Amino acid sequence: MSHIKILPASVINKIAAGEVIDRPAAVVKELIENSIDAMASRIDTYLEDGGRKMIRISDDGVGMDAEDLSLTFQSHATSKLLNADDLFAIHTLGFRGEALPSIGAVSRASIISRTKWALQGAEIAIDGGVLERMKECGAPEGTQVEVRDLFFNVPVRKKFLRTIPTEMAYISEVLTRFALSYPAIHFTLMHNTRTVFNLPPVRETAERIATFFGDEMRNNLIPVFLREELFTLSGYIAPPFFDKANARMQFIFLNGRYIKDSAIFRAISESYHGKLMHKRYPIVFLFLQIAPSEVDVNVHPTKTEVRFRNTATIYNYVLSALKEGLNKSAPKSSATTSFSQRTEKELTKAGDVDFIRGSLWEQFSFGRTSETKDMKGNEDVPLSVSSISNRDTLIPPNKEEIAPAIPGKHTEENPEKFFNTTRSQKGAYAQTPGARDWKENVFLAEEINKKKIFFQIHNAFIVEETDTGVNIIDQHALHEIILYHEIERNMRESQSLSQRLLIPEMIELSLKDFFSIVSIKKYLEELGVEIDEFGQSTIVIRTFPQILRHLSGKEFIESLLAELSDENYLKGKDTILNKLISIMACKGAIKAGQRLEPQEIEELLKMKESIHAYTNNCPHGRPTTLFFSLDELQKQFKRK
Amino acid sequence: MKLSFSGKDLYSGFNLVTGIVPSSALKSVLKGVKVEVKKKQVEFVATDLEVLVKYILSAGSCEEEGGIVLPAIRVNNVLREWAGNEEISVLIEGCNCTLRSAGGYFKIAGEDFLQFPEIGKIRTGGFVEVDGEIISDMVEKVVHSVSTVKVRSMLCGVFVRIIGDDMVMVAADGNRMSTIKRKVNNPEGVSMEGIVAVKCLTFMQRFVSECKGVLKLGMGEQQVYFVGERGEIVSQLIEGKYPKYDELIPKKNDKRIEVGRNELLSRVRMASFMTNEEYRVVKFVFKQGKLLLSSKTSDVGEAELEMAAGYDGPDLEISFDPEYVIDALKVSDSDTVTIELGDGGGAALFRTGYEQMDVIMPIEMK
Ligand SMILES: Nc1ncnc2c1ncn2[C@@H]1O[C@H](COP(=O)(O)OP(=O)(O)OP(=O)(O)O)[C@@H](O)[C@H]1O
Ligand SMILES: [Mg+2]
Repeated sequence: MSHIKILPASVINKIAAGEVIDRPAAVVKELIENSIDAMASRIDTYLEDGGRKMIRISDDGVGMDAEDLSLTFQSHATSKLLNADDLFAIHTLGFRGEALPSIGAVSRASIISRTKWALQGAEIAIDGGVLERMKECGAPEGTQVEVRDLFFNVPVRKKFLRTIPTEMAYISEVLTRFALSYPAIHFTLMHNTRTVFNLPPVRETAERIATFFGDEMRNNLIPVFLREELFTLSGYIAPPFFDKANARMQFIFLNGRYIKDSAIFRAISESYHGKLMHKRYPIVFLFLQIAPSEVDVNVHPTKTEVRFRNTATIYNYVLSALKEGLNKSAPKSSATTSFSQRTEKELTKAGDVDFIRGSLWEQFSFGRTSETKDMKGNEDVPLSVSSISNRDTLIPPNKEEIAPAIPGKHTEENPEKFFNTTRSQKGAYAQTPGARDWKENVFLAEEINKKKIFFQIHNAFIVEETDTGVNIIDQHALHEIILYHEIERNMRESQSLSQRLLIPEMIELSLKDFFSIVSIKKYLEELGVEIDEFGQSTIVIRTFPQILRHLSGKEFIESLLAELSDENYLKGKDTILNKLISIMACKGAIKAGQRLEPQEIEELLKMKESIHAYTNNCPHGRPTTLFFSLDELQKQFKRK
Repeated sequence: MKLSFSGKDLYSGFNLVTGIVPSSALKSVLKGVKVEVKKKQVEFVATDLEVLVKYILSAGSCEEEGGIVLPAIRVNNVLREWAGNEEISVLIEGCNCTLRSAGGYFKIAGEDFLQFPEIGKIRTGGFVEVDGEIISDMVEKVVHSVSTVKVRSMLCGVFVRIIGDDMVMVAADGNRMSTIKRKVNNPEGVSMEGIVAVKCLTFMQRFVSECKGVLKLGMGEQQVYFVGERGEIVSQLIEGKYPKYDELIPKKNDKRIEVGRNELLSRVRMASFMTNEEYRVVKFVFKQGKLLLSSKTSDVGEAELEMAAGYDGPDLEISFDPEYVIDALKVSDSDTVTIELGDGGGAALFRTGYEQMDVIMPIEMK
């Protein structure tokens, strides 16, 4: 990490210019990246006033000698990149030599650093871009960067800084990402003398996930893995019932770097197709290792955007790895510990590990947690009451004020307001996502010991008594998703059977549809639909999947065209397969308006219990089940 | 107008026509049975607008003419209870009807019989005659192949063709076809053909089981008529052009295997135990003197069964949906069945009886 060079002009021009530092969190990100590049094993972050007054980051990395230190605040001074070719072989997080100069230009900053071999450390300071003289000083091995009065000389920027809690939320998010990506590094975060995080090194990312998002999430994580020649994907995905209202919980790391990439986002949502409701997002933690030659990270100064040499390949890799993971997994509901147990464990932990899991949890919270746990852990305590009291105990009172918030939809909409309510969180819980989503959630029943009451209303809905309330089930939607899973499993596990037709079916199509079908002929054939072109715009179906025997070829082709029409961009085999399964499930499912015999209802409910897959939503994303707690009912009837 | 019947006759006639009454109909008159007296005969008529059924009883000494539409289900319930009674008298006064028998009476509100849909004039080139039980049996032997997929509507019926004294019935869905041929009495030498709805044919089977004897069959452009001594059935023919069934019968299948019908049926059925709804396939492997049947389904299990077979050619392998084979064998009355196969995965021919066969397409694994 020594020998900082001034980059030749040719490289400077190649590097995208632009503002990198827009808020304290950006400073934290740049400084931590530098520490990671310096091979630090511990990185401490200390903040005052949400980083507006002071940001201090110290590491135990390789440090800099006096000569290098004198160059750090110069533009395009980097030890990480020598010429333009290196841009395509970037193994470090930084490479532009821009971060420190940009920070130094808008703050009062200083760096103290010492290498292993130096006896003395050195300090250099910069004041609004004006370099001060270097001094020798005593220092521990490693580097400490202190940034004070950020934007003191840029009043416009300063005006746009948000409240302390909002800035803290951004910073926490930055730290969360690093912590997930570098489990072996010890991270701490202090804010105004209070510890926000203390994350000792752990062997696996899963442990960090547990720390941030709770043990239940960890226990349900589905590991995913895929290795190809220039590409490795590892990580975890959460089962569909841990869904979120936004994509913020989709952590994608490319060669250690947190990135956002639309192709990967698309692959994620496609892999969860049919398992999530419209506008809900799955939770994933994906770590991609890609040969640096295959990806350009120098697209945008913040480096969260990248450009892959072959986007389609990456898309397919991610899609297939995730699908495989989802197929393998069955929800292990029994593995989840009871909520009260968990609270106990956490309380004891909270004693020695000083971070505020409670409010982080709150920010990332997902719907189902409290309900299911309560059902098992605290049977006689009414639902909402018990979850509130349990959640309260999660946050020891003395930690309230340091609660940083990872920006979720709440902080975005009204960050100030959110933070002000932290002090009175008791009352605020009713509005948290966790509590609000609960009605959509299916009660995950364990063994049903006693006979439950159920009946059909309006020939369309099933009312089911549960231990803690009532489920109202959309019979068509539930049957549809059950069939969807059955068919999908069958299709994937076995060779698909294709019936050769005695009387080939001719279907006349519009020219546009004709070409659409002809363009996916190859995939259809793989699925057992052999098609020939006939004349101008007629197709002839020669073989047809056995599983679709209740459908005519015409119906099938028409449904397929209808389902595919708005997704022309990706007509891969998997997409078509998914559509196909949706079509089959929909056609096969009992319809609304169909009278069901008690035995049939029982059968359906049994299937719901026994199927090891996600049944909260039908393949089109509509909910299958609404749950009303007894407690809620009692409240509505003013019995409470 | 007063009529009188034996409880048994009245019930069996009324019950038969009630079978066609639609359970839900927009016009309430269609939920009824028309009782009309004319020419010293009482006609009981019901229709769902596709099939119309008429059952005839003697009016006895009643000389009057007139009628009423009676609520089908309600009256049928009454008549069922009184089916054992010696005599039931029926008094029709305008739109009211009084049923009276030993120990009580029912006065039932009916509807104007003139509102009831009429059958148009019979339009057919002529009639052929055939024993009701034979035609009923023919339906029995092919009806399993009728398509249940509504879109290809012409396959949703049984194709009936009469040429000379041959009557052929054909049923096919996209994947298999059944045919049977029998002799009819065709004094006028008429030729006719049409696609008859399954509903009409199954009703005809019920009719035949109630009233034995010779049936006259006629087909026009749009309708089919079955006329028996005690009544008649008229049905709309299914529109459309039926596929040229004789071209679908494989002609070059030169590998012939003879197998015992019962044995094959039980083996295929057993092999099918190891399949499920989504994955239905049984593999047939023909070897010298024997047939191996096997099935394998993940999550279910596998089976392999062996049986004797009259075959001495090279080893042959072909897979079928077991249900198709079972369907064909179930309606076979012979002791042995001949399977005729060609080279390379084309249609298989199952000769399951005299002039009776099933063409079944194989399943391919992708
Ligand atoms: N914590 C640190 N420990 C050791 N060296 C450091 C540290 N921070 C910065 N440096 C040195 O200072 C140089 C300049 O850092 P700076 O962040 O400005 O640029 P960079 O990391 O090379 O590129 P980028 O602008 O993309 O972050 C680095 O190349 C590195 O050699
Ligand atoms: Mg840097």
